[in-house]
Amino acid sequence: MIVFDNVSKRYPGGHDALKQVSFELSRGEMAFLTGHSGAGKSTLLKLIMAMEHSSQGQVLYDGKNLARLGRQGIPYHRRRIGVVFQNHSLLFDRSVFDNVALPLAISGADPSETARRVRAALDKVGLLHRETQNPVALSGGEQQRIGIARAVVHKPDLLLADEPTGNLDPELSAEIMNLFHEFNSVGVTVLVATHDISLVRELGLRQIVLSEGRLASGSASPVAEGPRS
Amino acid sequence: MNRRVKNKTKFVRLAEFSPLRLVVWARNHFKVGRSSLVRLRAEPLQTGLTVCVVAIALALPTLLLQLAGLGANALSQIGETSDINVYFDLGVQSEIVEERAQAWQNDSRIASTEVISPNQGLDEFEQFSGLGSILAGFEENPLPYVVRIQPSEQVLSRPAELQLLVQALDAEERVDSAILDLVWLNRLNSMVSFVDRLSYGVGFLLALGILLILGNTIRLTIENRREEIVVIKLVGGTDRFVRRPLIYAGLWYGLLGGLAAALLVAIVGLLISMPLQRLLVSYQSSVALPDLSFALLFKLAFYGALLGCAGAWISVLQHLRNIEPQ
Repeated sequence: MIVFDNVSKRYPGGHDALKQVSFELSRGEMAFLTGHSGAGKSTLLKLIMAMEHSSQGQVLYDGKNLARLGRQGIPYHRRRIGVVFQNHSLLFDRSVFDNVALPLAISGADPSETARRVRAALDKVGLLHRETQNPVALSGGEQQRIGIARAVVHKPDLLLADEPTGNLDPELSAEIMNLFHEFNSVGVTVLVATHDISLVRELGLRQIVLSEGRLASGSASPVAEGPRS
Repeated sequence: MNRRVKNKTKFVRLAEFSPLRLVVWARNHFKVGRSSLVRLRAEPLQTGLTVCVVAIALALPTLLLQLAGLGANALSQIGETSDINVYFDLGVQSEIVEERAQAWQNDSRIASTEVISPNQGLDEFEQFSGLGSILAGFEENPLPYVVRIQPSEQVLSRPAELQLLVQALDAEERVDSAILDLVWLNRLNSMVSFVDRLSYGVGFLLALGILLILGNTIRLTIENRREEIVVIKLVGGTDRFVRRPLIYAGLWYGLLGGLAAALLVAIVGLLISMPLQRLLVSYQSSVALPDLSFALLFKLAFYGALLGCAGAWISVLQHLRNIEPQ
């Protein structure tokens, strides 16, 4: 589904964030992207989101070169991806419901369908009872789960998460990771960037390890993993 | 290969215009329009000030234009009475005046004559100027006999001949002066066209001002919503989706400003209608004051909305592109 083919990313000023990175992530797979901070995890995710473009090499998404998307194509590319941020990027000027409904509002889903899907997503993360509240009133863990609900509400093919457990205690972190695992088990491809190695080991899934912009290990799928059931 | 790509684009375009897309499109616009109005209401001070500025900037040229229209209207009526007033010396007997008027009546250059006695003159003066009480202070009527002469069409169309006629009348015995009110007429005429031009000039400048003010307001809105815009772009919002509420905000500012401008014009019209009416009567003109018509209301709202949209567009084009998720 995602192919990095010898990808390098150099930022203006000469900093090399990624150096000749090649790996492949198959449809339905779940993998962790690990490495120290500054190893290039965020840059890699930004390349998949088309927030940045590679300086060298190609990033392919379903066989399409992301460098050729063009300004018009980028929003439609992003609609196929769900993203979870460390700072959850919720909007505090609207209710939990409206936050989660944002991707559906963007694609112009009809109101009853929107309500149904938002409630399903909120139910999945266990926060259906919060739908009318403002996210500012929720705890960090709850906010993160709202962010996850927003990321999956439009049924994306791919779920990306950038340090989703960065600010959470171990128990909550495990809960969040289990959520991702559950989404993967219904067929969503998941890539989670994290430095929480212990949690990763516990789940025993594929690791793509970056070190100073280079791929240290995990370039190929250990097993051709299909959707878990 | 090329052909296949072409066909594909065509198909996509067709799909974009299906009825379902239209419904979605209309629903989105309705929702966005309503929510941007709700957002304006959430910031009453900012909204109120912006709307006031737009209203004043629209009302000013409108009032000037109305004034010019009023002047032109009055002028067309005055123009019909391009009489020569022949003022006799004080104390001239009425028989002499009548006799003279009769003689002038036979002149081919003169269409008609009308004798106005000092008493009639006094009545007219009182009626039109409202200054009758001043004259009441005089023991005798200070006004002379006047013969009002309507020149023939032929003469009226030839300024040189008209001038000769006035000079001849002026030179007659016992005549104090013969006056054709053309100078005054010309002056008024050029004043009206000046105000007319001025209102367009002022209108143009103020329209530019509205564009800048609304552009700046929308720029501030964009700054305030930077975070929201970034999130929307991250979850796949198109430029159009981000732009839409901002354009609607501009539209509402302009539309509300236009309606408020109509209100201002109506209020100012009410305030000046009485004295203006009196002024017009004193010029023997009965021009109806322009009412605040639906046409004007519609026009102001329309131009306001148009300027609002344009201002928002300018701002959006300048500032929105730079906001990208980092």
